[in-house]
Amino acid sequence: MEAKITLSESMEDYLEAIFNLIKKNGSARVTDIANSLGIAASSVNQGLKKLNQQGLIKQQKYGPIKLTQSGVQAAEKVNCKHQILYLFLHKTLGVKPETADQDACSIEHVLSQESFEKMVDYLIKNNYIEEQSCAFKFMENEEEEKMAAKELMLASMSVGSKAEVLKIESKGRLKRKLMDMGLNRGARVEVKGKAPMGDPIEIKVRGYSLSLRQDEAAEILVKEV
Amino acid sequence: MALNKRERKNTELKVALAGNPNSGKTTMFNELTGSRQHVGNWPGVTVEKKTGRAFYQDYSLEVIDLPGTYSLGAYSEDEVVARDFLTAGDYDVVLNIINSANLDRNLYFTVQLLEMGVDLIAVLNMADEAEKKGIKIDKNKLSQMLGTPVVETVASRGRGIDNLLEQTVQNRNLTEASLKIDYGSEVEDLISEVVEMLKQYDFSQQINQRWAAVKLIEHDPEAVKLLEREVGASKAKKIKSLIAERELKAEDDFDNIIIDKKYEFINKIIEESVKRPAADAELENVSDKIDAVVTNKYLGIPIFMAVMWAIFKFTFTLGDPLIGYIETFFEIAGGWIGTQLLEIGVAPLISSFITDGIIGGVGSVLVFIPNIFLLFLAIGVLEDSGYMSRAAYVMDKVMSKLGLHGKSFIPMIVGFGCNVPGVMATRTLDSKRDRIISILINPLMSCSARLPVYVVFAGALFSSHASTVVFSLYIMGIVMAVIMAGIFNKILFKGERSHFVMELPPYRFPTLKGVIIHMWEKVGAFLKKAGTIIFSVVVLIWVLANLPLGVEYASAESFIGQFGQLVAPIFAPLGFGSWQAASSLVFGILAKEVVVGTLGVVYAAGEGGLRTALLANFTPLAAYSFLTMVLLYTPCIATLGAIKSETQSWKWTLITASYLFVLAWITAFVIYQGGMLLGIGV
Ligand SMILES: Nc1nc2c(ncn2[C@@H]2O[C@H](COP(=O)(O)OP(=O)(O)O)[C@@H](O)[C@H]2O)c(=O)[nH]1
Ligand SMILES: [Mg+2]
Repeated sequence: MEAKITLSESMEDYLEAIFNLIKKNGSARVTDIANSLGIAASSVNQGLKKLNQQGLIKQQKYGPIKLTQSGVQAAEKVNCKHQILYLFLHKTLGVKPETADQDACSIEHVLSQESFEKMVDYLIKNNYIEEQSCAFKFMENEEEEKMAAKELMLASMSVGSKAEVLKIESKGRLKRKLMDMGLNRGARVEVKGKAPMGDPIEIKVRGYSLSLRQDEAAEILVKEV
Repeated sequence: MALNKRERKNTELKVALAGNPNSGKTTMFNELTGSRQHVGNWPGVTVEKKTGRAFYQDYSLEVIDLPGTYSLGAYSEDEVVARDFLTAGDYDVVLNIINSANLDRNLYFTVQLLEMGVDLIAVLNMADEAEKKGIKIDKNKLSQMLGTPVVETVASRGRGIDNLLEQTVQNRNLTEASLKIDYGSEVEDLISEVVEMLKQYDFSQQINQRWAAVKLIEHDPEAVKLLEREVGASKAKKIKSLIAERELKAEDDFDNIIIDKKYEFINKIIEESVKRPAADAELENVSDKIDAVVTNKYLGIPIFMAVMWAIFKFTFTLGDPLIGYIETFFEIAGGWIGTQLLEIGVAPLISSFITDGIIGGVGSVLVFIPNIFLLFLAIGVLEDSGYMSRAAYVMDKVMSKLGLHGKSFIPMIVGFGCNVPGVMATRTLDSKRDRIISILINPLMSCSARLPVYVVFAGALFSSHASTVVFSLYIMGIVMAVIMAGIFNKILFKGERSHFVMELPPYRFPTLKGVIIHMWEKVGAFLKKAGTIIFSVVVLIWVLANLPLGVEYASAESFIGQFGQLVAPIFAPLGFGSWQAASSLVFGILAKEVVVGTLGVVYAAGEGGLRTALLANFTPLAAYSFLTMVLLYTPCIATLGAIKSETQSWKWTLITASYLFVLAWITAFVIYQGGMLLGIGV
């Protein structure tokens, strides 16, 4: 999948290239990415800018490029689709390894979640993939994400809405402080108002009024009730 | 008295008031002790310590009002004081003051204390508010479930105080077993294992082992520290890794499990002992209604500004005439005593020492009293009514940009009147970091004593632009405060994340008694702590301005004049290298407005002559540089005295004095040299 992709602007290719470079060399630089994709450094820079805007990579000026958590996830997912496609083409249809690899490279970007899942199902049934395959992770993740769709940040709740606390994501002292103030799992809260400048907010919990800054409320996961 | 030691011990009790903020501890403290109070500081910290005495039958009770706290977690200096006191165990009974109208959260602290094994009486205060809300509490059931006596009170009306005292002396030797909450088999098994491990070490004989184990399991940083200190890092690690290993297998973090179980326990208590009206009667919503206006998107800030303006007016417009009376009184008294002394043949120098030095010194302390009095009357009303927290809430967005807390706004505003009450007003801040930074930058608020200096100079040298010049100085002070707050945040308190997880207590009518006592304490603290410093320095400077014997007051030959000559070269690059300018700055430490008077004396200028003298000695640029110096340099001795008494530390006092001097010098240097380069006002 390295040399053949010529002028593709697909962000996924960049991500994959960065991901593989980091795995191989521990870091990714613009020149390496340009080399591995076989394109000019200037277009790589443009691509990187877009990835940065989407919060998939972190790049310090002139420093090495790093993937953010969501960047890693996205890259792993592309990678996984690639593997599944390769297996499917090669094992079930008998396509030659090189061709299977090249085709996987092209199809991976447009493959739908549904087809992906069906291919995985088929491969599992025919014992072509093992338990630890990346596929399981991504099918599970998908389900979790669906479940999590109802999870909201307290900060994003509008004034007057009521919610139940699911989880405090803060760490250390702030987490303890929040829980000591009665914001533990299952606590009912109501957003009472916002300060004139929008921050902090006032909530009602356990029968009293509590104020929190927006960034503190952003670390409290709730579900609307 | 004819009591022997043992008997006295039996009738002397040490009683501490502990509980959530705003549960009525201080009101209860005032009820119990009346005027038999003493306000000091907890050793080594800036937290107020209030102790007092109560008498009941033959008993004498030492009562301590602990700072309010929501848990034993200890997130601020105040809470650390309360926690340390409670864990040290040097008391007979703890009166746990509980807001009956909000049992859920209040009992969380009670349960923590009971688990630790604290001998306490659960005081259901604010019974009137609970009643109004239709909340009925079965005291016997509650007492039985908590395993500790329960008393009902209304501190603000003195209801139930006798009964509380009776219960306190009856339960003076209370030794209930500590409360046990069932944390579920997973945690309970681990607790037993950790307790077994702790038993190997001697130190565990003195503590409640189960409680220590629970604290370790929930990763309480203090508990971990204690363990490491007592048994060494490597043995502590064994216990820690056992806990970590179990936690990996557990279905949730242990701290989550433990806290959930605690609330489950509390919910059960409430279910069985409390009756609440079915449809949570929307009675309490008076507070919500007031909030809807006071924190309203459009009205919130104007209301806040109006309140600040009212406080400022109240403190200074009402206070300044009173200051005038005090000054007049001391002038007349000084003059009268002076003539009496001369008549009975006391040497003029001695007489002057007594009238100008000593009486003047006392006067310069007392002139602050009216402002402090009025300001703390206003702050007392704000705090007790509940508006103070809303003010912080409304302003937090702006203040947090400076790394400060919403409440820091009030000391800043007050600072424009006078930095002494400004510094004292930082007491309302909870975290040490907010307190220290607010104190450090408070002198940058241009106080009213600096205005006369600006006016005289601006009038003499900037006739048509006088008001612009004065205004620019106020702005310069604010800009410097913003910059310095940022710098102090970075270098002094790096990495400390502040938070704004704060209760907004319900609005209440302040009690006159509470407000007056509060105000009285502030005045007393100022007189005792800052007063002595101010007085000594005033006397010292008087002496130095009159020595060696025979010199004219403040002349070039006096010690201060000589000192002025010595240091004058430091100010040469700023455009005013004369000894007169230097000594006026030295005297300015007494009080900033003294700069003007001193310049009058050292230029030997009569009425109106000062203007000519200034025109002859300062270019406009040099004058602006001088005013910058007056604005920014070392604050007056009264402010430094207040800083010392608030921070309890010479270190912070000296840091303030010296950083401001350096800041002033650099700024004046940039202004003067920059102006010279550009050819402005030379
Ligand atoms: N209604 C009512 N108000 C009370 C009672 N006790 C105290 N207060 C008020 O509650 C507010 C907070 O009291 P304070 O003693 O300062 O609480 P602390 O923070 O625990 O020291 C004040 O406005 C008191 O007047 C009570 O029993 N009933
Ligand atoms: Mg109090």
